[in-house]
Amino acid sequence: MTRPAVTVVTFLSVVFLPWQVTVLCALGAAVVEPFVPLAAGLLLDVLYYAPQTGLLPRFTIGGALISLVASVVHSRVRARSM
Amino acid sequence: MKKTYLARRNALFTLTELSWGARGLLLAVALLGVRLVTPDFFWHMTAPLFRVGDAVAGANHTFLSSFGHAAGVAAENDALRKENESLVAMNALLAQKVEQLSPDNAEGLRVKGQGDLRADVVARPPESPYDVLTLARGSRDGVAVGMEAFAPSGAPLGVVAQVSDDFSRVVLFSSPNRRTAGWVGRESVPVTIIGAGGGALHISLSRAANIVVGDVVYVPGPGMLPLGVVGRVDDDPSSPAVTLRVRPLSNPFSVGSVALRATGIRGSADFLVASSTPQ
Repeated sequence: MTRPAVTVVTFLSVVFLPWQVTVLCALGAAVVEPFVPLAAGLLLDVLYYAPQTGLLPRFTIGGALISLVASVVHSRVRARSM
Repeated sequence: MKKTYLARRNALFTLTELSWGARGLLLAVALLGVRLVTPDFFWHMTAPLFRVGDAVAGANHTFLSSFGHAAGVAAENDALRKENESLVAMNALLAQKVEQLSPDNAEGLRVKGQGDLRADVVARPPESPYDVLTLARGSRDGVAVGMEAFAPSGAPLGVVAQVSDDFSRVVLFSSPNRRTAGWVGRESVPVTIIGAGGGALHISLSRAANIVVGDVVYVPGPGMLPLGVVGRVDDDPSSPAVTLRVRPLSNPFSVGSVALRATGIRGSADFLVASSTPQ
């Protein structure tokens, strides 16, 4: 029940709450769902990114990095618990 | 002999095999595809969500304010702040116009609001992390890239950078690392205004310019348009320069609608080459 809840809450925060809250939600969600930071970052950039700002889509990039780290940690923890 | 049977797997992926994070990722990728292929459909689809988000954010603000103060006081405070912003902007604009008012250049003046195109704001900071406003007006309504966006108080906010049929996007002057040429103070000292995100701006300037808190910062437009006031001067004794923290005259977090105007500024490049001579 925790996994769907954290995923849905993180996604809702993208539209309804300031982006700082979304970042916190995504970091928290990474503990149980490693792909959520990447998904939330991508969604943030899909909704708000404008290439004309001259910036990189930093939320997708940041989300991908966090998801990568979370996936590695998850796989290590799983391997150790077997 | 005992046989071992392996569970039969479907050759195709099914949603039940995917984690919630992976499902979310698929959804985000699908939305990305929709935005890239049919941007207008995407904005039509998401605009109602943003409007609900706006209402929720407004309710949150009132709710949180009620803890420290009465909700009425918070609302009154907001109204007074907006009125103050409007008055400061108008005052600065009038002061500038008085300086410019000579028979030679009076032609350049225009009545505020004349020829403006009103547009509702669909998405704004702080939900939008790039200091970009999404407007519910597009090329069908006459919006074009390079038009300048103004708050209801008359303060300039940014420049239209992207237009689709029914929607457009304004990159605010406060967008992170955005560099805009402008002027500051009574002497109209030419400066480069740098966006810091979240509605904040800063300027690095020589200490010799003697800029003080309360001096007005201008950007090019028809003449010099007041963008904000110097709210703080960070002075490091070991450096010959000071950093001016600029407080915008209009808060982009609370802008409900903007006025769009073709000011002759075609894009950010023009802001960067603004000369020290007021236009």
